[in-house]
Amino acid sequence: MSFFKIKLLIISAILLAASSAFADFYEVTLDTSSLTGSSAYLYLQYTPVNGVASSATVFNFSTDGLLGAQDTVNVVNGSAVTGSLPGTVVLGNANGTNDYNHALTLGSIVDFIVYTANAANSTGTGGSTFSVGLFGDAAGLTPLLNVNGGLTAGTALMINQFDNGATSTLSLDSTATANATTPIPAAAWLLGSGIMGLAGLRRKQA
Amino acid sequence: MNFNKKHLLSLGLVSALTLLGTTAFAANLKKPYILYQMPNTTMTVLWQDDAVETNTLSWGTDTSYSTGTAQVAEETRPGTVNQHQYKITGLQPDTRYYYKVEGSAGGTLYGTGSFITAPDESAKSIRFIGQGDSRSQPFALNNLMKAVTGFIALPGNADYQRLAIANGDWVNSDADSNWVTEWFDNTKTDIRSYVASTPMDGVKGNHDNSSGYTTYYAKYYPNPYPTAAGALALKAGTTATYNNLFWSLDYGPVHVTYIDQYSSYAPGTAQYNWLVSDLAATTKPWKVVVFHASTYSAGSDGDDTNMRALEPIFAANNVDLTWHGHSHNYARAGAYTTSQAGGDSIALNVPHITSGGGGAPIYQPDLSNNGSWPHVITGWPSYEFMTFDVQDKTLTMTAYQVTNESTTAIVPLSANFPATDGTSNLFLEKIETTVLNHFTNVSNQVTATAGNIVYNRASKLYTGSLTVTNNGASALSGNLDVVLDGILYLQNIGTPSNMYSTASPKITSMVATRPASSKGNADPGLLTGVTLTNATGSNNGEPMIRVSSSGLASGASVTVPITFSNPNNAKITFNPVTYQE
Repeated sequence: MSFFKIKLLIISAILLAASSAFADFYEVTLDTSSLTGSSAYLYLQYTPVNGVASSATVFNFSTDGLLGAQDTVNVVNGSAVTGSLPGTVVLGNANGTNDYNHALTLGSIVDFIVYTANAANSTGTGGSTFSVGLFGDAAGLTPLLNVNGGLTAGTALMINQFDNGATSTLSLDSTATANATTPIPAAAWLLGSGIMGLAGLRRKQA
Repeated sequence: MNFNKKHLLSLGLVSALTLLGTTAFAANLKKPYILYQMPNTTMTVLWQDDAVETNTLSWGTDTSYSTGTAQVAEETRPGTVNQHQYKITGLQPDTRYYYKVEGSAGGTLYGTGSFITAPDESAKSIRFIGQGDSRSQPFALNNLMKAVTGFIALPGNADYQRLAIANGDWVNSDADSNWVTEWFDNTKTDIRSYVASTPMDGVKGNHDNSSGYTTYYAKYYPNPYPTAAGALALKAGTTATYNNLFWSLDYGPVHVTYIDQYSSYAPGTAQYNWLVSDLAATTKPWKVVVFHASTYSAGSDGDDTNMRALEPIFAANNVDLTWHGHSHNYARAGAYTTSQAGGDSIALNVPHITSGGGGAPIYQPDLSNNGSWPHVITGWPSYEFMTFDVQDKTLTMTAYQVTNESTTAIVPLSANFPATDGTSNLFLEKIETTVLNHFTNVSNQVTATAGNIVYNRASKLYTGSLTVTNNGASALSGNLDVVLDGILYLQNIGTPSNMYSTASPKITSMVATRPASSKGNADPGLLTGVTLTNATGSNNGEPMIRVSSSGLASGASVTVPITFSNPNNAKITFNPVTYQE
C-alpha cells in the first residue's frame, strides 16, 4: 500500500470515529489581552436540559499565559468529568451541571477546540450546553468576562448541542468567539504521523 | 249524657290534648338547616320538632322576612317523624336571603339562617367549600365548622357561603342516635349555624351505610335523586331504607356527579348506565366526580380498587377532578403519563384529591409510593377543608389545615384569624393549592425547545431559554403558556404545622417519594427539588410560564428566559406542553 493511501486511510478513520454520532467542532478563542497578568479561573461546564446522553470534549488547549492547577473544590459536580488541561477534558452530562475549574495566569489568548456529540433524538425538546467562563476567584463570584451579565455573569460563550442534532453558539462577551471547524485533532495528527512514520520505516526496511 | 254533651266533651278533650301537644310539649329537636335541590330559584329548609304541629317559615332579602311565608306541616316521607321540609321557590338567582322558622307565626323561634341562591346557569365563575368525613368527633366537627365560618367571614370570602360539597361519612353509623349526637346536637352551635346558612350537597360514606343501604342519611339529606334512572331504590321489606343514592348537581359552570359506591355500579346496572349518560350529557365546562372512598389516595384506609374500573369513563368524559374522603387526611394523587401509570387504571392528568379531614380521627398518609397506595403526589395528616374557586377557564383548589383542633372542647378562633395569635386558638394554614386550566393544547402545532442553560455558582441558579416556534399555517392568538410537564410545582405547597403527625419523627414534607409513580415502577415520577423560579403560574401541580401575551404568527418564534433553582443538581428534564389560553 502506498504511503499516500495509508495517510488517507488514517484520516478517514479519524473522521469516521469523530462523526459516528452527531458531533460539531468549534474552535473557541478568548481574547484576554485586556486581562494580561491577571489571576483567573477557567470554568467549563456542560449542562443538560431535556438532554439525552451527551459529552463535550475539550482538546488542543493553548494559551500564552501560564496554566496553573486544576481546582476540584469549587465545582458543583465533577463526577462526570475526566481529564485535565492542557490535555483532553471530557465533560459528560449525567448531572444537573457537570463542571471543571482550572487556575491560570492570563496572557493575551486562550484557545481550544471543543466538540460535542450525542446520539441525536429527533423529537428532542432540549439538549446540553457547553459554556466557558472566566472568573477572578475559584468560587466563581468575580466574573472577568460578561461582567454585567446578571445570572450569566462570567460566562463568555455557550455552545448548544441540541438533541435533534442541531448546534448553535451564543457569545456573551465580545472577546469570546467560537468558529465551527472540522479540524483533524492535533493529537490525531500526531498519532497519524506516528503511524505514517512507522509505515515509511517499514517501507524503507522492505 | 246526651249526644251534645258527649260531643262537646270530646271536643273539649281533643282541644285540651291539642293544646297540650303544641304549647306545652312542642320544641325544636333539629334546628333548621338547608339543602340545595335545584333549580337556582329555590332553596330547601328542613327541621324537626317533637310534636305534631304546623310551623311557620318566613323568608326575605333582609331580616324583616317579608318576601314570603309558608305554613309547613310535617312531611309525609316514610320514616320521618315530626320532620318538616319546605322548598322555597320563586327566588332570584345569586341573591342572599334570610329565613326564620317559628313554631307558629309569632310563636317560638326554632331557628334562623341565611343563604345565597345558586348563580345563573350561564355563570362562568363560582366559589364553594368542600369537606368530608365529619363523623365521630362532634367537638372537632364543631371547631372545623367554626373555622370555615370564620374563613367565610373574612373580607372577600362571603361568596363561599353559597354551597358546600361533602364526600361522606357524615356520622359514625346509620342510626338516628348518631345523627342526633354528631350532627344535630344543639349545643354544637357552630355546626348548627353553619348548616343553617350553607347547603351541604353530598354523598354517603361507608359509615352512613349498612350493607349498601341507608335510612338516616337519605332521611336528613333528601338530595334530588334521579329516581327515573333507578336512584333511591327502596330496600325490599322496608319503607325508608334505600340504596342507589347517586345523583348530580349543576352549579353555575360546575357539574358535580355523586357516585354511591356502596350500590352496584357494574356495567349494565342502573347506576352505571346513569353515570355514563350523566357525564356525557352535561354541557358544563367543569366536571367534578365525588364519591366516598378514593380510587387513589395516600391511605391509611384502603383504596377502592374496584372503582378503578370507572377511571376510563372519567377519562373519556374529560372529568377534571375526582374528590373523595374515607382516609382522614389530605392527599393528592394522579399520573400524568402512561409510564407513571405503570399499567394501573387511572385517568391521566386528573387530580384525585382526598379531603377526609372534616372532623373524624386523623389518619397518617403513606407517601412512599412503595406500598398499597400508588401515584401519591402530596399528602398531609390534618383536619382540613377545601375551597374551590372557578374563574372561567381556571379552577383553583386550596386545602386549609385547621390548626389547634380539639376533640374535647370548643376552641375559639385566633384573635388574628386566619393567622395565629400565638395561643392555642384555632387558625388556618395552607396545605396546598392546585390550579387547573381549560386551555387549548397546541403542542401539535408548535415546537418548544430549551437551551442555552448555564449554572451560576454565585446565585446557585440555572438560567436558560425556552423557544417556541409556530410551525402551523395559522397564527396563534392571545396568551401562550408552556407547562413544564414532569416537574412538581413546589410554590403552591404550604408549610403547615405538623401537629397532627403521629410519626416519629414527625412528618416534615408532604411531597411523596417518586411522586405520581408507584411500587415497582421504574418511572422516577415527577422531578422534585427543581423550581422554575420565574414561573408565571401552574397547571395541575406543574410549573407554567407565559411565553407570549400577543400570540404567535405562523412561522414565528418567541424566546423567554427560564430560571431554575436546583439545589440537588438533578438533571433537569421536562416535557414542554404549549397551551393557548
